[in-house]
Amino acid sequence: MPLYDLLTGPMLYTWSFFIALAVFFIGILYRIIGFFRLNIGPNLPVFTMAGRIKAFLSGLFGILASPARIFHLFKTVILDVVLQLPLLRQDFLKWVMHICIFWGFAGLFFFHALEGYVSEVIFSNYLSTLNPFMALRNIAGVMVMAGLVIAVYRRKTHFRLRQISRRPDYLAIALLALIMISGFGLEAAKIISSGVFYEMVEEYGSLDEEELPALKAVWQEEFNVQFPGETIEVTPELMEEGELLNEDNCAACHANPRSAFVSYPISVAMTPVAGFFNRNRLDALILKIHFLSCFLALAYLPFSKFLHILTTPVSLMISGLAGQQIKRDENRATRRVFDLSACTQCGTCTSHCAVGPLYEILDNPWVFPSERVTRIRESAWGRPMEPESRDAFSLGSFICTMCNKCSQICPAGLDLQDIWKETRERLAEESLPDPVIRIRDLRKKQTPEKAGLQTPVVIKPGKNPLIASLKRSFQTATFSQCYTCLTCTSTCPVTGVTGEIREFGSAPHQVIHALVLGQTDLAKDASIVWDCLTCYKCQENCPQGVRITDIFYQLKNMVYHQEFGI
Amino acid sequence: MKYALFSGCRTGFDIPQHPKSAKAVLSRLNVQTQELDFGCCGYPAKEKNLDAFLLLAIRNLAMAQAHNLPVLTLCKCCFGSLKQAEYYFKNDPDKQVRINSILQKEGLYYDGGVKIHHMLTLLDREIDQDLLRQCITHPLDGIKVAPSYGCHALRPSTITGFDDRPNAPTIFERIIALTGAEPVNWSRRLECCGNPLLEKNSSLAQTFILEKYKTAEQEGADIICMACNYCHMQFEHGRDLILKSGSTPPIPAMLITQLLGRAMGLEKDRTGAETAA
Ligand code: HEC
Repeated sequence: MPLYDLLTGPMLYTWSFFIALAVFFIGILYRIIGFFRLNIGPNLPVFTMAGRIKAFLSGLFGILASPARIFHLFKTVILDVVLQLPLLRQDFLKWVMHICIFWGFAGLFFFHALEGYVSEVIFSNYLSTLNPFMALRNIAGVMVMAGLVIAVYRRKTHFRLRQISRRPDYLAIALLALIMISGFGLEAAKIISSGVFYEMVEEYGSLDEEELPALKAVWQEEFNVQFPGETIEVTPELMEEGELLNEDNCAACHANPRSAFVSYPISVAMTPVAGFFNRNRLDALILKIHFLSCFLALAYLPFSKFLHILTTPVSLMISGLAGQQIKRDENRATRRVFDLSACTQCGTCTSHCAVGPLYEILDNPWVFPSERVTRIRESAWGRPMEPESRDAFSLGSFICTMCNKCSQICPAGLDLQDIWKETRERLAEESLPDPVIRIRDLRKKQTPEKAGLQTPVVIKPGKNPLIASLKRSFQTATFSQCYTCLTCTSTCPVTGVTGEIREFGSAPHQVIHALVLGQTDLAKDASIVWDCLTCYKCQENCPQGVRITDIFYQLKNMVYHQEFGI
Repeated sequence: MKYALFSGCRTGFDIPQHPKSAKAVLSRLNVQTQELDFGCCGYPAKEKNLDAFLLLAIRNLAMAQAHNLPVLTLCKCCFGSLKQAEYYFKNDPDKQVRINSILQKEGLYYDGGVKIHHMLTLLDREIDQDLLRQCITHPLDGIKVAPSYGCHALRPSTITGFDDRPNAPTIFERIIALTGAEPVNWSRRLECCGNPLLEKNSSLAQTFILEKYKTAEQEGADIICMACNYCHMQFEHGRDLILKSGSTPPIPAMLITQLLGRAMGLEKDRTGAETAA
């Protein structure tokens, strides 16, 4: 069966590798084109892709032509990318986590995965089974595993990180863990493998049939190879003979596997099932799991947060060189798209966000900057916002105070401020502007139908539950003390400017009196409530201690609740 | 003396010169500041949801409590917000329970009592006035300065306690006088700058700020001085409007910390960009 052969045969490695590589390159190309094509922000002005590429190249040339900037770039690479000092300044544990994964994985990638191109070129005596390489491989694996454990621990225990951690975050961790665990498992399975032993003897051993038991004895005793169904009588003489054979045939390439200080104990633990393992050549199966998971990660990279491995160093360099001051609009547009792909969903912005705690009250995930970044990126790359989330997203975007803390603290060097600014403009364009403005426009639309000049307002009879709720608050309950002396209105700077009071709702005392009459609808609609400067002059001067401004705030709260459900 | 410096959100991008100049001035006065991981003061959330306002404001106070530091705000709106929130919180046991149960998730807790200062109250009440006078090495003799008080620090006066005489305050004038400049008895010093209406009713907001510029100039001021992020933004906005309309440029409007920086002979690069004259 040819398909079966493809899946199990030696060709599996080759074809799966080339498919993964092809997906990787196509994905990267897709991303690069997107960086110059996509737009975050209002639809105009849009730059042509060619214009943006040109601007980028001229910017790049400007950097390369200046020794001072090259030096600066070099400094950024060392401090921010290699040593990751921004992380260290923020959170030691996080730095340990990332340094472990970053350096451990980089080591494994270059010196183990690419051993033919790196290790063998650099070290004339390189062999994966010799020290220090065997031990170093284990150290790197342990680093990555430790990093992953810390990553999961942080995401599970930090209350804010727990709120924002999603499947893709854990998927990335799980895939890395699979690569590491299968790597250790493979090394252990090989150590105990009688199959590999026989292959080795076939290939490198120049020994007679009768000498084999001696070599087997040594490899069983010292190298933990397990021979299923065989009991080798180990005698000192046999061992002595075996040592010599090992010396002649194998030792040049083999350090003692105990140096693989993780894999070796695993191999020892595996001895009870070694027979099953070796008879079925499960080491070959683990090998497949190991390289297939690596290839999967390779293919997945351009489409996942793994992309940050390539993009974040660049975003850090951009931020190191230009800060938040990129001059050309074309390049700012490109940077916005690029920055979104450099986000690692690490949650730093969200943990320090000035308004992030509002999630607890508004139950709106879009108050979190990291959630918005993810969603803005998804929208840009072709997954439009679900209609039912649009309002909430807009609310979250505009509740942001633009304090710039996220941009200053982002360990990936993203200029989030620019992304927020442009996104807000886009939202305004899509008729989802600042809720403040939406309410203003809503009220404008209602005005013509409202009571005209000097038309008496209609008083609705009956009990009003909202009045009861106002009376429950010690601040707002004060409205019932009003005796309509008009001090508030005479001190109000807004009525001072708008002049003669002709229409209902343009003077503070009218609002308070409307409440006294149980008319919350009238009060909520009153123009003075929405044109209130919140200067507190009325409240300050009220002889009855009516907290007028605070009552206005409460009325506005009611309208926000009614319009936006907050 | 050490304070938790509460710069306010607007300083992060728009007005970095405010905390910068404040720190420069304070270090002259041997006042130490520490920057905590403060969030929003709650002011922008107040009209949307009172609990949201309270949570944001009290969270900052809880942080200050955890560090056992008094808070020093630069912005009048931040100051007013924190003061009001503290007052609400104290008087409303239900809110106390709700807010604290949320804060508890991040290991914070507030039970009241954190001291809240504004830059002006600090300079006026906490700093030795002789020391302040000694630090004024470059007195601003002959310069007339119009103080724009800022509503949210002044009122409601029973809560903010900004000046003993809320309807005729003098605290700002006292500080200006220390710099050697002459405070102008400006008719509109207590008026609102109009910023709260900037987005809701821009023509009203404009009226207020243009009126402030006009009267200050008419009443002989050389400089308008403010101690609030939002006032500062509004004065910058008004200035843009005037420049765009083609009128003669208005008098500069600057932060009190920058004015003090000048009077202390601090280099420009320590007090940040000033509005051009
Ligand atoms: C030219 C160098 C070389 C010689 C000589 C050599 N080996 Fe190996 N051996 C290797 C390499 C390289 C591997 C790892 C192969 C891999 O990862 O697929 C290996 C793997 C093994 C393994 C699997 C365990 C492990 O650590 O990966 C066994 C068992 C083994 N060799 C036994 C022997 C024996 C027995 C001899 C002597 C007859 C021998 N080898 C001679 C290079 C050599």
